[in-house]
Amino acid sequence: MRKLITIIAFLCVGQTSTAQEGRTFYNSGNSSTTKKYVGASWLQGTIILADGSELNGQVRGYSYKGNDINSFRYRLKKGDKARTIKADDCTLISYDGLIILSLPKNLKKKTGKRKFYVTLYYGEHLTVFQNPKAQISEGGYASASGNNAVSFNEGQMLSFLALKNGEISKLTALNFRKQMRKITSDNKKFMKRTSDKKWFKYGNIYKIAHYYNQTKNQ
Amino acid sequence: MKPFLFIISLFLFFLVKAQEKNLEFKYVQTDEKKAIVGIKSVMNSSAFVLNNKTAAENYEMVYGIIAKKYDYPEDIILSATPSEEIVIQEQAPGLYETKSMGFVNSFDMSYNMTFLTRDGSIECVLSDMKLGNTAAMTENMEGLYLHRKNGKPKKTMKGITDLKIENYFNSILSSLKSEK
Repeated sequence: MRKLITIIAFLCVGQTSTAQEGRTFYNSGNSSTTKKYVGASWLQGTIILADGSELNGQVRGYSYKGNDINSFRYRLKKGDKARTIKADDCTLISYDGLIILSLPKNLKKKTGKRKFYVTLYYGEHLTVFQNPKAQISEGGYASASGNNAVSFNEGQMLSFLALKNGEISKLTALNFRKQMRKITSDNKKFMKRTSDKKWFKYGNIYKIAHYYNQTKNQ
Repeated sequence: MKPFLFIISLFLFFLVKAQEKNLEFKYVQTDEKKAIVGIKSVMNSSAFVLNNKTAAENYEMVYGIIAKKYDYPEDIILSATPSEEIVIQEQAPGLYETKSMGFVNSFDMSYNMTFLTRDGSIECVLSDMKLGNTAAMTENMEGLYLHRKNGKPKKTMKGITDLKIENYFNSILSSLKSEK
Protein backbone atom coordinates (compact mmCIF):
# COMPACT_ATOMS: atom_id res chain seq x y z
CA MET A 1 0.00 0.00 0.00
CA ARG A 2 2.84 2.39 0.87
CA LYS A 3 4.53 1.68 -2.46
CA LEU A 4 1.26 2.40 -4.26
CA ILE A 5 0.81 5.76 -2.53
CA THR A 6 4.41 6.69 -3.31
CA ILE A 7 3.93 5.86 -7.01
CA ILE A 8 0.74 7.94 -7.19
CA ALA A 9 2.41 10.82 -5.41
CA PHE A 10 5.31 10.83 -7.88
CA LEU A 11 2.90 10.69 -10.82
CA CYS A 12 0.96 13.66 -9.48
CA VAL A 13 4.07 15.70 -8.76
CA GLY A 14 5.51 14.88 -12.18
CA GLN A 15 2.37 16.05 -14.00
CA THR A 16 1.72 19.16 -12.01
CA SER A 17 5.10 20.64 -11.21
CA THR A 18 6.43 23.44 -13.39
CA ALA A 19 9.88 24.97 -13.52
CA GLN A 20 10.34 28.07 -11.34
CA GLU A 21 10.56 31.18 -13.44
CA GLY A 22 13.20 33.80 -12.66
CA ARG A 23 11.52 37.20 -12.24
CA THR A 24 13.11 40.15 -13.94
CA PHE A 25 12.10 43.77 -14.25
CA TYR A 26 14.56 44.53 -17.04
CA ASN A 27 13.33 46.31 -20.16
CA SER A 28 10.53 48.08 -18.39
CA GLY A 29 9.71 51.51 -17.10
CA ASN A 30 7.67 54.40 -18.29
CA SER A 31 8.46 55.70 -21.76
CA SER A 32 7.28 59.28 -21.40
CA THR A 33 9.96 61.94 -20.71
CA THR A 34 7.54 64.01 -18.63
CA LYS A 35 8.24 63.88 -14.92
CA LYS A 36 6.69 60.93 -13.10
CA TYR A 37 5.41 61.11 -9.56
CA VAL A 38 4.73 58.16 -7.28
CA GLY A 39 1.10 58.10 -6.17
CA ALA A 40 -0.35 57.28 -2.77
CA SER A 41 -3.08 54.84 -3.78
CA TRP A 42 -2.93 51.20 -2.80
CA LEU A 43 -2.08 49.27 -5.99
CA GLN A 44 -0.64 45.86 -6.77
CA GLY A 45 3.12 46.07 -6.68
CA THR A 46 6.34 44.27 -5.96
CA ILE A 47 9.22 45.14 -3.68
CA ILE A 48 12.64 43.53 -3.97
CA LEU A 49 14.23 43.75 -0.55
CA ALA A 50 17.92 44.32 0.10
CA ASP A 51 18.43 40.59 0.75
CA GLY A 52 16.98 39.73 -2.66
CA SER A 53 13.65 38.41 -1.41
CA GLU A 54 10.46 39.59 -3.04
CA LEU A 55 7.29 41.05 -1.53
CA ASN A 56 4.21 40.84 -3.76
CA GLY A 57 1.07 42.57 -2.65
CA GLN A 58 -0.29 46.07 -2.30
CA VAL A 59 2.04 49.03 -2.35
CA ARG A 60 1.62 52.77 -2.10
CA GLY A 61 3.69 55.93 -1.79
CA TYR A 62 3.81 57.00 1.85
CA SER A 63 6.07 59.93 2.68
CA TYR A 64 7.55 62.55 0.38
CA LYS A 65 10.31 65.16 0.40
CA GLY A 66 8.86 67.84 -1.77
CA ASN A 67 7.59 65.93 -4.80
CA ASP A 68 10.10 63.09 -4.44
CA ILE A 69 9.08 59.81 -2.87
CA ASN A 70 10.75 59.10 0.47
CA SER A 71 9.13 55.85 1.65
CA PHE A 72 6.49 53.31 0.69
CA ARG A 73 3.95 51.22 2.54
CA TYR A 74 3.41 47.54 1.86
CA ARG A 75 0.67 45.08 2.82
CA LEU A 76 -0.18 41.63 1.50
CA LYS A 77 -3.84 42.50 0.93
CA LYS A 78 -6.52 44.87 2.15
CA GLY A 79 -7.10 44.54 5.85
CA ASP A 80 -3.62 43.27 6.62
CA LYS A 81 -1.18 45.27 8.70
CA ALA A 82 1.05 47.49 6.57
CA ARG A 83 4.77 48.10 7.00
CA THR A 84 6.93 51.01 5.93
CA ILE A 85 9.65 50.41 3.36
CA LYS A 86 12.49 52.91 3.09
CA ALA A 87 15.19 53.13 0.45
CA ASP A 88 17.74 51.45 2.77
CA ASP A 89 15.43 48.40 3.04
CA CYS A 90 15.14 47.55 -0.64
CA THR A 91 16.68 47.73 -4.09
CA LEU A 92 13.68 47.98 -6.44
CA ILE A 93 9.96 48.69 -6.34
CA SER A 94 7.49 48.06 -9.14
CA TYR A 95 4.42 50.26 -8.68
CA ASP A 96 1.79 51.77 -10.97
CA GLY A 97 3.74 51.02 -14.14
CA LEU A 98 6.88 52.59 -12.67
CA ILE A 99 10.17 51.03 -11.69
CA ILE A 100 11.68 52.83 -8.70
CA LEU A 101 15.26 52.05 -7.77
CA SER A 102 17.01 52.48 -4.45
CA LEU A 103 20.41 54.05 -5.12
CA PRO A 104 22.98 55.96 -3.01
CA LYS A 105 21.76 59.42 -2.05
CA ASN A 106 25.15 60.77 -3.10
CA LEU A 107 25.55 59.18 -6.51
CA LYS A 108 29.19 60.21 -6.72
CA LYS A 109 30.10 58.43 -3.49
CA LYS A 110 28.14 55.20 -4.19
CA THR A 111 27.91 54.38 -0.47
CA GLY A 112 25.99 55.70 2.49
CA LYS A 113 22.33 56.49 2.87
CA ARG A 114 20.06 55.55 -0.02
CA LYS A 115 17.27 57.33 -1.84
CA PHE A 116 14.52 56.41 -4.30
CA TYR A 117 14.89 57.28 -7.97
CA VAL A 118 12.13 56.82 -10.53
CA THR A 119 13.42 55.18 -13.68
CA LEU A 120 12.52 56.01 -17.23
CA TYR A 121 14.02 52.71 -18.42
CA TYR A 122 15.45 49.86 -16.37
CA GLY A 123 17.86 47.73 -18.32
CA GLU A 124 20.42 45.03 -17.70
CA HIS A 125 23.33 47.12 -18.98
CA LEU A 126 22.03 50.68 -19.11
CA THR A 127 19.37 52.28 -16.90
CA VAL A 128 18.00 55.78 -17.36
CA PHE A 129 16.34 57.46 -14.40
CA GLN A 130 14.90 60.80 -13.41
CA ASN A 131 17.35 63.45 -12.30
CA PRO A 132 15.91 64.91 -9.07
CA LYS A 133 17.56 68.22 -9.88
CA ALA A 134 16.33 68.36 -13.48
CA GLN A 135 14.52 71.40 -14.81
CA ILE A 136 11.08 70.84 -16.27
CA SER A 137 10.24 72.31 -19.64
CA GLU A 138 7.44 74.77 -20.19
CA GLY A 139 7.49 73.97 -23.90
CA GLY A 140 9.19 75.59 -26.90
CA TYR A 141 12.39 75.26 -28.89
CA ALA A 142 16.09 75.63 -28.14
CA SER A 143 19.47 74.29 -29.06
CA ALA A 144 23.08 74.49 -27.98
CA SER A 145 24.10 75.81 -31.42
CA GLY A 146 21.36 78.46 -31.60
CA ASN A 147 19.41 77.10 -34.59
CA ASN A 148 16.33 75.90 -32.65
CA ALA A 149 17.06 72.25 -33.40
CA VAL A 150 15.47 70.83 -30.26
CA SER A 151 11.79 71.06 -29.34
CA PHE A 152 10.45 70.52 -25.84
CA ASN A 153 7.07 69.30 -24.70
CA GLU A 154 5.48 70.92 -21.71
CA GLY A 155 6.35 69.02 -18.53
CA GLN A 156 9.28 67.27 -20.18
CA MET A 157 12.31 66.68 -17.98
CA LEU A 158 15.32 68.44 -19.47
CA SER A 159 17.85 65.95 -18.17
CA PHE A 160 18.05 62.35 -17.05
CA LEU A 161 20.75 60.30 -15.36
CA ALA A 162 22.19 57.15 -16.88
CA LEU A 163 23.59 54.29 -14.83
CA LYS A 164 26.01 51.99 -16.60
CA ASN A 165 28.57 49.67 -15.00
CA GLY A 166 28.08 51.46 -11.69
CA GLU A 167 28.89 54.85 -13.19
CA ILE A 168 26.45 57.76 -13.39
CA SER A 169 26.31 60.10 -16.39
CA LYS A 170 24.05 63.02 -17.13
CA LEU A 171 21.97 63.15 -20.32
CA THR A 172 20.66 66.60 -21.13
CA ALA A 173 18.17 67.52 -23.81
CA LEU A 174 20.54 69.99 -25.48
CA ASN A 175 23.64 67.78 -25.65
CA PHE A 176 21.96 64.38 -25.70
CA ARG A 177 23.58 62.90 -28.81
CA LYS A 178 27.15 63.67 -27.78
CA GLN A 179 26.61 62.48 -24.19
CA MET A 180 24.80 59.30 -25.24
CA ARG A 181 27.40 58.37 -27.85
CA LYS A 182 30.10 58.72 -25.20
CA ILE A 183 28.56 56.18 -22.83
CA THR A 184 27.41 53.71 -25.49
CA SER A 185 30.54 53.60 -27.65
CA ASP A 186 31.18 49.98 -26.58
CA ASN A 187 28.22 48.74 -28.66
CA LYS A 188 29.05 48.73 -32.38
CA LYS A 189 25.59 47.74 -33.56
CA PHE A 190 24.07 50.53 -31.49
CA MET A 191 26.59 53.12 -32.69
CA LYS A 192 25.73 52.30 -36.31
CA ARG A 193 22.13 53.31 -35.74
CA THR A 194 23.00 56.64 -34.10
CA SER A 195 23.44 58.12 -37.58
CA ASP A 196 19.64 58.00 -37.90
CA LYS A 197 18.86 61.41 -36.40
CA LYS A 198 15.10 60.89 -36.55
CA TRP A 199 15.54 58.00 -34.13
CA PHE A 200 18.56 59.16 -32.14
CA LYS A 201 17.00 62.07 -30.30
CA TYR A 202 16.26 63.02 -26.69
CA GLY A 203 12.51 62.38 -26.88
CA ASN A 204 13.21 58.79 -27.92
CA ILE A 205 15.52 58.10 -24.99
CA TYR A 206 13.48 55.12 -23.74
CA LYS A 207 13.64 53.26 -27.07
CA ILE A 208 17.30 54.20 -27.47
CA ALA A 209 18.18 52.75 -24.05
CA HIS A 210 16.18 49.63 -24.93
CA TYR A 211 17.97 49.14 -28.25
CA TYR A 212 21.34 49.54 -26.51
CA ASN A 213 20.46 46.86 -23.96
CA GLN A 214 19.07 44.46 -26.53
CA THR A 215 22.09 44.71 -28.82
CA LYS A 216 24.83 44.94 -26.19
CA ASN A 217 25.88 41.32 -26.45
CA GLN A 218 25.32 40.87 -30.18
CA MET B 1 -6.07 -5.18 -10.02
CA LYS B 2 -8.13 -2.33 -8.56
CA PRO B 3 -5.12 -0.29 -7.39
CA PHE B 4 -3.52 -0.78 -10.82
CA LEU B 5 -6.65 0.53 -12.58
CA PHE B 6 -6.74 3.48 -10.17
CA ILE B 7 -3.17 4.46 -11.03
CA ILE B 8 -3.82 4.18 -14.76
CA SER B 9 -6.98 6.30 -14.62
CA LEU B 10 -5.19 8.93 -12.53
CA PHE B 11 -2.33 9.04 -15.00
CA LEU B 12 -4.71 9.32 -17.95
CA PHE B 13 -6.58 12.14 -16.20
CA PHE B 14 -3.42 14.25 -15.91
CA LEU B 15 -2.36 13.34 -19.44
CA VAL B 16 -5.67 14.53 -20.90
CA LYS B 17 -5.51 17.71 -18.84
CA ALA B 18 -2.03 18.41 -20.18
CA GLN B 19 -3.27 17.96 -23.76
CA GLU B 20 -5.99 20.66 -23.63
CA LYS B 21 -4.58 23.26 -26.01
CA ASN B 22 -6.36 26.21 -27.52
CA LEU B 23 -5.59 26.54 -31.22
CA GLU B 24 -7.13 29.97 -31.59
CA PHE B 25 -7.92 33.11 -29.59
CA LYS B 26 -11.61 33.50 -28.80
CA TYR B 27 -13.70 35.64 -26.46
CA VAL B 28 -16.01 33.68 -24.18
CA GLN B 29 -18.78 35.14 -22.04
CA THR B 30 -18.38 34.73 -18.28
CA ASP B 31 -20.82 35.00 -15.37
CA GLU B 32 -19.16 38.12 -14.10
CA LYS B 33 -21.49 41.09 -14.12
CA LYS B 34 -20.56 44.69 -13.45
CA ALA B 35 -22.95 47.53 -12.81
CA ILE B 36 -23.74 49.64 -15.89
CA VAL B 37 -21.11 48.02 -18.17
CA GLY B 38 -22.67 44.56 -18.26
CA ILE B 39 -21.36 41.00 -18.55
CA LYS B 40 -17.66 40.36 -19.02
CA SER B 41 -16.21 38.26 -21.81
CA VAL B 42 -12.63 37.12 -21.65
CA MET B 43 -10.25 35.77 -24.25
CA ASN B 44 -7.99 32.77 -23.63
CA SER B 45 -4.54 34.04 -22.80
CA SER B 46 -2.66 31.43 -24.79
CA ALA B 47 -3.00 29.50 -28.04
CA PHE B 48 -0.84 26.90 -29.71
CA VAL B 49 0.60 26.42 -33.15
CA LEU B 50 1.38 22.75 -33.72
CA ASN B 51 4.00 21.63 -36.24
CA ASN B 52 6.82 19.19 -36.88
CA LYS B 53 9.65 21.59 -36.13
CA THR B 54 12.20 21.44 -33.34
CA ALA B 55 12.33 24.07 -30.61
CA ALA B 56 15.35 25.69 -32.29
CA GLU B 57 13.61 25.78 -35.69
CA ASN B 58 10.49 27.27 -34.14
CA TYR B 59 12.57 29.93 -32.39
CA GLU B 60 14.30 30.88 -35.66
CA MET B 61 10.94 30.99 -37.42
CA VAL B 62 9.43 33.34 -34.85
CA TYR B 63 12.51 35.59 -34.93
CA GLY B 64 12.43 35.55 -38.73
CA ILE B 65 8.81 36.71 -38.83
CA ILE B 66 9.58 39.55 -36.41
CA ALA B 67 12.65 40.54 -38.46
CA LYS B 68 10.53 40.66 -41.65
CA LYS B 69 8.09 43.05 -40.02
CA TYR B 70 10.61 45.34 -38.29
CA ASP B 71 13.90 46.75 -39.58
CA TYR B 72 15.15 46.57 -36.00
CA PRO B 73 13.48 43.58 -34.30
CA GLU B 74 15.27 44.45 -31.04
CA ASP B 75 12.95 47.45 -30.74
CA ILE B 76 10.03 45.23 -29.85
CA ILE B 77 11.83 42.25 -28.30
CA LEU B 78 11.78 42.51 -24.52
CA SER B 79 13.74 39.32 -23.98
CA ALA B 80 14.85 36.30 -25.94
CA THR B 81 16.25 32.93 -24.91
CA PRO B 82 17.42 30.96 -27.96
CA SER B 83 15.38 27.81 -28.65
CA GLU B 84 13.09 28.65 -25.71
CA GLU B 85 11.20 31.91 -25.88
CA ILE B 86 10.87 35.36 -27.35
CA VAL B 87 8.89 38.07 -25.55
CA ILE B 88 7.73 41.07 -27.56
CA GLN B 89 5.84 44.24 -26.80
CA GLU B 90 3.84 45.58 -29.71
CA GLN B 91 1.51 48.44 -30.55
CA ALA B 92 -1.59 47.67 -32.63
CA PRO B 93 -2.99 50.92 -34.07
CA GLY B 94 -6.78 51.15 -34.03
CA LEU B 95 -7.26 47.56 -32.85
CA TYR B 96 -10.03 48.41 -30.37
CA GLU B 97 -13.00 49.37 -32.48
CA THR B 98 -16.63 50.13 -31.79
CA LYS B 99 -19.37 51.22 -34.18
CA SER B 100 -22.26 53.48 -33.34
CA MET B 101 -24.78 55.09 -35.69
CA GLY B 102 -22.49 54.53 -38.63
CA PHE B 103 -19.45 56.03 -36.95
CA VAL B 104 -16.37 53.99 -36.13
CA ASN B 105 -14.39 54.77 -33.00
CA SER B 106 -11.02 53.15 -32.74
CA PHE B 107 -8.26 53.17 -30.18
CA ASP B 108 -4.75 51.87 -30.20
CA MET B 109 -3.80 48.89 -28.12
CA SER B 110 -0.53 47.55 -26.81
CA TYR B 111 0.26 44.07 -25.59
CA ASN B 112 3.03 41.65 -24.68
CA MET B 113 3.27 38.33 -26.43
CA THR B 114 5.49 35.47 -25.33
CA PHE B 115 6.35 32.85 -27.93
CA LEU B 116 7.32 29.66 -26.09
CA THR B 117 9.12 27.60 -28.69
CA ARG B 118 9.14 23.86 -28.09
CA ASP B 119 9.57 20.69 -30.14
CA GLY B 120 6.40 20.37 -32.16
CA SER B 121 4.71 23.54 -30.97
CA ILE B 122 4.79 27.26 -30.33
CA GLU B 123 2.70 28.54 -27.47
CA CYS B 124 1.67 32.17 -27.92
CA VAL B 125 0.87 33.77 -24.56
CA LEU B 126 -0.84 37.16 -24.44
CA SER B 127 -0.36 39.46 -21.48
CA ASP B 128 -0.48 43.12 -20.42
CA MET B 129 -3.14 44.07 -22.96
CA LYS B 130 -3.70 47.79 -22.69
CA LEU B 131 -5.90 50.36 -24.32
CA GLY B 132 -3.98 53.42 -25.46
CA ASN B 133 -0.41 53.57 -26.68
CA THR B 134 1.28 56.28 -24.67
CA ALA B 135 2.67 56.09 -21.19
CA ALA B 136 0.29 58.86 -20.21
CA MET B 137 -2.83 57.13 -21.44
CA THR B 138 -3.09 53.42 -20.99
CA GLU B 139 -5.73 51.30 -19.36
CA ASN B 140 -5.42 47.63 -18.57
CA MET B 141 -7.81 45.45 -20.56
CA GLU B 142 -8.89 42.43 -18.63
CA GLY B 143 -11.87 41.62 -20.80
CA LEU B 144 -14.63 43.09 -22.92
CA TYR B 145 -18.16 43.86 -21.81
CA LEU B 146 -19.95 42.67 -24.92
CA HIS B 147 -23.32 42.06 -23.31
CA ARG B 148 -25.68 44.16 -21.26
CA LYS B 149 -26.61 43.02 -17.75
CA ASN B 150 -29.79 41.47 -19.14
CA GLY B 151 -27.70 39.28 -21.44
CA LYS B 152 -28.46 41.08 -24.69
CA PRO B 153 -25.41 41.73 -26.91
CA LYS B 154 -24.27 45.32 -27.32
CA LYS B 155 -24.69 46.19 -30.99
CA THR B 156 -21.82 48.67 -30.87
CA MET B 157 -19.39 45.96 -29.79
CA LYS B 158 -20.49 42.34 -30.17
CA GLY B 159 -19.21 40.95 -33.44
CA ILE B 160 -17.14 44.13 -33.97
CA THR B 161 -14.72 44.75 -31.13
CA ASP B 162 -14.22 41.11 -30.19
CA LEU B 163 -13.96 39.94 -33.78
CA LYS B 164 -11.34 42.50 -34.72
CA ILE B 165 -9.16 41.59 -31.74
CA GLU B 166 -9.62 37.85 -32.29
CA ASN B 167 -8.80 38.13 -36.00
CA TYR B 168 -5.70 40.18 -35.27
CA PHE B 169 -4.18 37.67 -32.86
CA ASN B 170 -5.35 34.67 -34.88
CA SER B 171 -3.57 36.16 -37.90
CA ILE B 172 -0.35 35.94 -35.89
CA LEU B 173 -1.06 32.23 -35.37
CA SER B 174 -1.82 31.83 -39.08
CA SER B 175 1.46 33.44 -40.08
CA LEU B 176 3.29 30.98 -37.81
CA LYS B 177 1.35 28.05 -39.30
CA SER B 178 2.00 29.05 -42.89
CA GLU B 179 5.70 29.88 -42.45
CA LYS B 180 7.96 27.15 -43.83
